[in-house]
Amino acid sequence: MNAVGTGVTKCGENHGQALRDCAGDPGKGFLAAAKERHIFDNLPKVVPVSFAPFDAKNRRTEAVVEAFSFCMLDLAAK
Amino acid sequence: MAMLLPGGRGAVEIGKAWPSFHRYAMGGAYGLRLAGSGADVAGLVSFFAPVEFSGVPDTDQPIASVSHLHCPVLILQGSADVITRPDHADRLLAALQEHHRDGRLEKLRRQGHGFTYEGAPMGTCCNFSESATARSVDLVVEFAARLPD
Repeated sequence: MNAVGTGVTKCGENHGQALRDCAGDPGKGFLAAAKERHIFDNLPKVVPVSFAPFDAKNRRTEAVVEAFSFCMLDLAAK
Repeated sequence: MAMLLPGGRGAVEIGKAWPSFHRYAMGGAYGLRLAGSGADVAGLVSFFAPVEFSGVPDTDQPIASVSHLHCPVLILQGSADVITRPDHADRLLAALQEHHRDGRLEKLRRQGHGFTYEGAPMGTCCNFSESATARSVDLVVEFAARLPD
């Protein structure tokens, strides 16, 4: 529950640093809550192998990662 | 958005460039595709995933991946989501059951897209519900704990 008792967190309120960092991404609420609960603390990190930024010619962004514990897929078209 | 929990068989090359469904974010839809692609996935958490788009062939619809899924699926959906409507989650669960897959749907009451409070505007400032996001974390932890090692 937040300071005003509504159970709703809005950006800029004086609690929940991770939730205040949100910026319009629907996945960030869950990720912030998981981070605050330290869910990811002891899990192996995702290891980036390669990343090719968006290429307008083939309309493709490519990232290769090694994920030993879990992988979040949170895509936003730019 | 989707969370993919890998199995223990190591990397699998699925090597496929998928066409985009829509101009907006499609993590949940691609999560279904990826989990049904033959990749080594032990469990899938599908967050407010759209399962069908207009103008996309039936064979390319996200819901078409259900028949290829072999992992348990946890569907998390806000009951007041107007971006991915709750009926998408209902249809996904029904498709999983039709194919005798292990599916569970949890609807979070009065929650919008991303578990924002009902009616909160998207794209300007997030208004995430602390209780709903905390509940979603609990559900994911429970789901992951019951997956085989």
